[in-house]
Amino acid sequence: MSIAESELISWPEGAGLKPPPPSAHWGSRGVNVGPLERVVSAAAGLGLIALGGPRRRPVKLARVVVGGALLRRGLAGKSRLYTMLGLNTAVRGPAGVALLQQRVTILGDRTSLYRFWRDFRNAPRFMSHVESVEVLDGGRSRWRMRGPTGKPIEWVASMTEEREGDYLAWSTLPGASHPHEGVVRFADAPGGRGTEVEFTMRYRVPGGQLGVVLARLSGLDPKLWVSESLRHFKRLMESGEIATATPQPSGHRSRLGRRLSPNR
Amino acid sequence: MKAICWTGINDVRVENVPEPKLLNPRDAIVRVKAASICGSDLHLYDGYVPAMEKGDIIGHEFMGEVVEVGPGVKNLRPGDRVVVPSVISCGDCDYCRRRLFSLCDNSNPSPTLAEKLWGQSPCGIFGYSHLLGGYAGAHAEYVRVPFADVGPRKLPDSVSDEKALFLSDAVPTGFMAADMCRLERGDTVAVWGCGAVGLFAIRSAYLLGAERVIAIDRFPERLALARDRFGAQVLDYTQIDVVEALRELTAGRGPDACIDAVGLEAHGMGVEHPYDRTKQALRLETDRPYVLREAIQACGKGGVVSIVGVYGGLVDKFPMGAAMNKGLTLRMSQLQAHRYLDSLLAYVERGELDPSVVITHRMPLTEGKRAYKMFKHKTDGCVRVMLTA
Repeated sequence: MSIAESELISWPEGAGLKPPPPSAHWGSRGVNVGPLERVVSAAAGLGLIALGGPRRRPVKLARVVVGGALLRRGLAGKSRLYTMLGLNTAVRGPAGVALLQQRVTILGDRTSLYRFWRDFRNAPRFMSHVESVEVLDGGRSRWRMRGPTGKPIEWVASMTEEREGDYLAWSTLPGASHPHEGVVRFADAPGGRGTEVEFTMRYRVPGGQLGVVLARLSGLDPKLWVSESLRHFKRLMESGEIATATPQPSGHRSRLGRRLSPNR
Repeated sequence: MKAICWTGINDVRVENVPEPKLLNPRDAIVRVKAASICGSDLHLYDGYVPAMEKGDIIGHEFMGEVVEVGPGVKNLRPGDRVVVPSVISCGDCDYCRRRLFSLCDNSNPSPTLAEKLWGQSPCGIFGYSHLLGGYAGAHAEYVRVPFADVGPRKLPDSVSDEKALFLSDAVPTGFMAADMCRLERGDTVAVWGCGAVGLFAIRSAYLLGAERVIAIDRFPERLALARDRFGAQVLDYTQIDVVEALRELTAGRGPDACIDAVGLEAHGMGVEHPYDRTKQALRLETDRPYVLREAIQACGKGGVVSIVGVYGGLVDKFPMGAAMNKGLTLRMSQLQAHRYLDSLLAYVERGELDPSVVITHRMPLTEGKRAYKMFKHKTDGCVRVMLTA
């Protein structure tokens, strides 16, 4: 059987890791439009196509194109717009719980990579926006991160599962303002290419589904945070530093250029 | 310091900008002694490369003197005269370890755009848009060189600045083009493009065992250089049907290998030209693939088409049928400078290769605007301009 989309991103199982509730993100077979919405969409699409009205070519064309898209959306239950925005009205899962997962390949051995990550005092060196980590007793640590608005976010996390060189799992303590849990897994990459590192995180987004979309649109995308942090980790481990081109000299910037990227 | 900044399509300006600073432990600051405008710089100038911002310092082919090194650079000292490859590589990732330096995982600080466009990001390059790292370029008085323990090569006193300059880009690119052809003794190679890269590809093809090299261009001074200084038979594509000529010159076989040293701004003749120009203007096609089409059509069965001309996006009407049915191998790459630099420097040191023959103009950096214009329009017999700070 071919690999389903829901298998690409899923909570890792095994060794006592808790299985997840039904995923809030992925419907089956890529369906991401809810049933009632599908009926309405299909009806609207049919209506638009069949409707009489101005015979002018551009308007007629627009009607057919939009109507066709709505009809297709209703019949197939898949919306490209929703996919782009990460919305899913088809699955009834816990609202506003987002699941992030990403993998990176690093030329280095599993155990050294694990050990570097496991020493959470190293986190500020590669995790974006993490300012400091204080290691407490009993597998707990206090994390301090610069939040999206610039205000610091703090939480205390505790290790839930770990096996050296294989995986480490953590969870925020009850009562945390930004509850989340996650797993980092380390596996040998094929062909001597080093180690495949997989980072999975589940967290509650204030504002539910809409909150998830808004965060993405405003550029405070947690997906970006994960990919950036993993990339920084890879670069630090392989080349000893994180490549940068900021700040650097440049000529006169346009006004728009200055506003968009003040450091360049 | 003075630097040539990209300020728009067909517009560069020499501006006063701050000097670069060390940012990472493996950085070095190099005072640029000589730089050159590369054919690929023209793609920036002509507006074919996205992610350029007004004020970006451009330029990637250069040599100079080390003035400052970071704590992670043990092999260089201030005062060392070096040639610096135009592509930036960390030396530690899987690709660098396999000597595929231009595929470095770690030298593009902002790879997301390239990943979206191409699937994964190649290495960073000096002065070549924010798609490839946004590094400040080398058409300036000073440049910050990242991973300086990997790229720059110290120059012996016997190799002058002029002789060393093109080891940064044009010579290794030309050599790589020939290397990718898997040449055997007696082979015939056709090279499209008689700019510096094409000329060095001709020389490299001979060095690697080719018996015959046929070079294609339309500018008389470039054809003359290819014929008289580099020993190629030359074809002017405005006067002759290249595919037919190549077939005749090889008694029906076609060349054993074809090198595309032209890239996305190829100039076409005939009916394809308005087709491609229109599509390009409408942004429906980003690259003009005339040379690719011709090379595939002309290449002998079972041969190699070696592509070093720069391409960025999508091409239309690609002769896949010809390529597949003739069993062609298409090999292509962004410059793998570090792979060839040491052996090429040895060639220059021994006097077997003098890259400075391609320099037709020497100008100060401050005349950058005029230099770019002249290089673009190939006026005054311009083949390569050497800029000195």
